Amino acid sequence: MQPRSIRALVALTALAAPLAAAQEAINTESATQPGPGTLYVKPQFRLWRYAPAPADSAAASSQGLTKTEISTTLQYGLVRDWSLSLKVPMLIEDAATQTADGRQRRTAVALGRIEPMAKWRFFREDSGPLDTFRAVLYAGALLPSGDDSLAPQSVDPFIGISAMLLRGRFGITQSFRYTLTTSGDEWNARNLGGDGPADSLRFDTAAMWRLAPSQFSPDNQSDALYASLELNGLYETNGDTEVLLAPGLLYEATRFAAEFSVGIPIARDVSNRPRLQYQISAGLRFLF
Amino acid sequence: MNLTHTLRLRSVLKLFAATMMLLTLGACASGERSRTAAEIAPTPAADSDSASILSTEPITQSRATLHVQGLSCPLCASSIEKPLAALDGVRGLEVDLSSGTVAMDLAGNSRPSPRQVRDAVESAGFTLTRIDVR
Repeated sequence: MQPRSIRALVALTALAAPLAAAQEAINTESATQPGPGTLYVKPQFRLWRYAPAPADSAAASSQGLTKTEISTTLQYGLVRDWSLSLKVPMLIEDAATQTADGRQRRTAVALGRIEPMAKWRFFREDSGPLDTFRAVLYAGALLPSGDDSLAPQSVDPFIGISAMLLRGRFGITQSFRYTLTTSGDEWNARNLGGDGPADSLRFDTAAMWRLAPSQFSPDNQSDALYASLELNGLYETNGDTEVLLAPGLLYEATRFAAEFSVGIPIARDVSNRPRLQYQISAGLRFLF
Repeated sequence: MNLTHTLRLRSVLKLFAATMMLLTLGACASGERSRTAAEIAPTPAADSDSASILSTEPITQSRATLHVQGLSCPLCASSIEKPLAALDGVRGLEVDLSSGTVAMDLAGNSRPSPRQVRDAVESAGFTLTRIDVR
């Protein structure tokens, strides 16, 4: 990462400082989880658009690629401080290439890697009706789906930690997740970020600010609107690093929530895979 | 991982540590925090008493007001309902985010004790600080 990029990122971070964060951010693993016997269902849509390959690169024929993930995550509160989740994604990949016969387009659909995960809240300190500081450890694995057309078929375990500080309208979440990749080089040419043979470290910071209501009251507490600003980073042990700035909105009621964010790379040092142009995330959450 | 990669990773991690520090300072310096129910209503209402949250004696009154911390948000607060509703004798629940309280209506011969109520609130991931009964 170039020093100029780092300075720019720090400046942007300082700008984001007055915004503080809370609850569950859109692209950042949160330190929240459902209570015992409570089920969260989270359908989510995500789209990544990758740029055409440079003309002088080995993949110069690539005219760009769009990857779409439609997933459903079930998260269930087991007992106090413990929850289990299962994410099942469907992947759609749309790629354009330039060949001697002209521009060609390929679309593929496949089941992505299923992701079971356990989360343990090891620290909680509540200091007000809304105020809290929480920290969780989580661990799971990316499991093969049986279809290697759009995702590697290795078993890749991961472990992570997340902490959340909430004060009034403001909150912050910080999360780190390390994935140990066990797939071989055969997936190197298909890697779009985190799918290659290199291990990966996700590092995410989320800031959320409750836009409305300014204060909950007996007549005004059944829903809330939040603005979010996330820094979502991915470092791979082959040296590729990419950081996205992702502003978003979250509407939350007592039994469901709706979220939307757009991520744009603001710092990048990538030479082993296509360059991401933007990311779109949208989803719902239901509480049962 | 060679030295160049390690240096890049260190730069990135330092950057994020700085980010976290700035945001934390921003949150703490905001000076705003949610008012506790004790600040809204310093003492129990005239027609209610406080029950020790460690007591194992069943609550005999028909209504208990739980003072809870950490409710966070509307969706988060809803997750307190299931563990409380599972207690014997609980007939109704009403969460009030503005004051950090949960009003609990009780009926029937089998009633929960304050300690059972406290355990249910804790299991949901929140902190019970006081119970007012009437």
